[in-house]
Amino acid sequence: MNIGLGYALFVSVVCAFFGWTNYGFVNLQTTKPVVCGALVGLILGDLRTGIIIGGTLTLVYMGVQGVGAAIPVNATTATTVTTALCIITGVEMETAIAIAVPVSVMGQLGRMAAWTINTPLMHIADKYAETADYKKMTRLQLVGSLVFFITEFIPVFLCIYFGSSFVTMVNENMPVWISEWLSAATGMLPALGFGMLLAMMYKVKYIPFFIVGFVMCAVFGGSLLAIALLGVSMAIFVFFFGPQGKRRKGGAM
Amino acid sequence: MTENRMEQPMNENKIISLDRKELMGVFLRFSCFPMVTINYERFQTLQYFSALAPVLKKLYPNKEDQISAAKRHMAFYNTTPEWMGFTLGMNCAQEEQIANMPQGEERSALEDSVNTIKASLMGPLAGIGDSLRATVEAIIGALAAGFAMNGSIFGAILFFVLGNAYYFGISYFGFFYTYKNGMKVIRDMNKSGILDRLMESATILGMTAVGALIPSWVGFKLTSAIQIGDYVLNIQQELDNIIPGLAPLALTICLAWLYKKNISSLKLVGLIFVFSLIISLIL
Repeated sequence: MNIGLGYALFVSVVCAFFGWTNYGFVNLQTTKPVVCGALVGLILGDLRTGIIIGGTLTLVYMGVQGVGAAIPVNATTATTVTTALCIITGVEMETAIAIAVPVSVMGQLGRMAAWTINTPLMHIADKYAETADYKKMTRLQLVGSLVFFITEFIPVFLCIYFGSSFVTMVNENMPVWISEWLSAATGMLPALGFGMLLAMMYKVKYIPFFIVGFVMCAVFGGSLLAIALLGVSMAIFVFFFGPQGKRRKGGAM
Repeated sequence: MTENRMEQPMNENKIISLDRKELMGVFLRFSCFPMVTINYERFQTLQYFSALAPVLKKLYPNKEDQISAAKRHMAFYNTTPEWMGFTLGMNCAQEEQIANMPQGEERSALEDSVNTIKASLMGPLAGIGDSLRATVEAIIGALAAGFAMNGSIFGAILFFVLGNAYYFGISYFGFFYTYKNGMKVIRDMNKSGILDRLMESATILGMTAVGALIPSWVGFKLTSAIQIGDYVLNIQQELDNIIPGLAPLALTICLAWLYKKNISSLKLVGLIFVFSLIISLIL
């Protein structure tokens, strides 16, 4: 399916808007997959698809965090573009989610470009600082904001405009084994998110809590909210009765 | 004599102080726009300055002080956005103090300490901030994703509300608390070990949640059966007899281990695709 240029531009503006928010606009958590997926779905007229894709990609990109100066793969671009393409082309969600991976890298490249393009702003700001021109210094923010929008819009537009016909073509001629493969892969992808989280938090002393959570869910079939409450109570217990808590009160056992 | 000297600057030009509205302005500017001009050279520096700009302008009516204040705040700064408030609050208090001091050695020492505080605290704050946020977002995200994958809009609302409550809560607390209490806060927090214990508690909650998430949300089932003579080996059933959710658990631990070995997440995604191809072809 070929979509018109006008519609592609509209969809791209919608998608790029959410990727732009936490950098160029007010930082309101609208870049998180579960939120922006639902919002893109709402605007494009298929809320349910947006919600489910957002939820799935939240799990996939769970461990992906911008730590220090590194720019991670762009989960927002992945979610908005995947949701939009899924709604436009009407492909299965499992197939659409496989698109997320290359798109997230495109989004990451866009962010890196923005960080690079913004660098000269510092030298301009230095020059204004010599004459204490506060107004011009703070106005540079508008430039930064614009840069973030453009660098988000370009990869999104490329993915939407060329991606839609590509996805439709692939989908129409897709043998069964490929769709089986993709649905197996998207089922496994959340394991990466959890694996990265696990690697980040791992210490031997935390293993018992991990096992409790696992067993409560896998064997006893507890709901996530119930297990989270159990986790909260263990966390509170350790906060007040843990070894450091005792040391603080003077080392008395 | 002493009393006279103390009162002198007060009589000449009255004490300049920041009111609630101006402080609120700083809070809103840094929390809403923490990264607009972020760049590879000096990261959040210009945002930090922009948040303070109106306050600096009020505190320093004369041009020369404005120039030196602007230059002072153009030094490198970068930390986790919601933890910016911890240094901004202290800096506001300091700048207020500087503005009411006569020129001299004492004043320039205090001017230097503005950047000392920024530079020495931004690293530790980012260390706490990044890992605490990762844990908090994992928990909120997991709960929200649970609702979302059943098609409920409540997941998105839950994340939006709790995520913003966390972000603006930390920002607000950090900024106003350190403005009032200055350096003491961080020192007290470090001494009592409260931050360490907070991190530990958050990690415990995070580990419990991740443990519960794996069997619910990792889809990894070996559905086919292998027939050997009369005997039918149903792999998934055998695995479930050992303990349900064993296959997702093994997969996740493998990926965590590989990630710890510094294999990039993108390579691991590739690995998942290859592995799932093999699984879907053979089994």
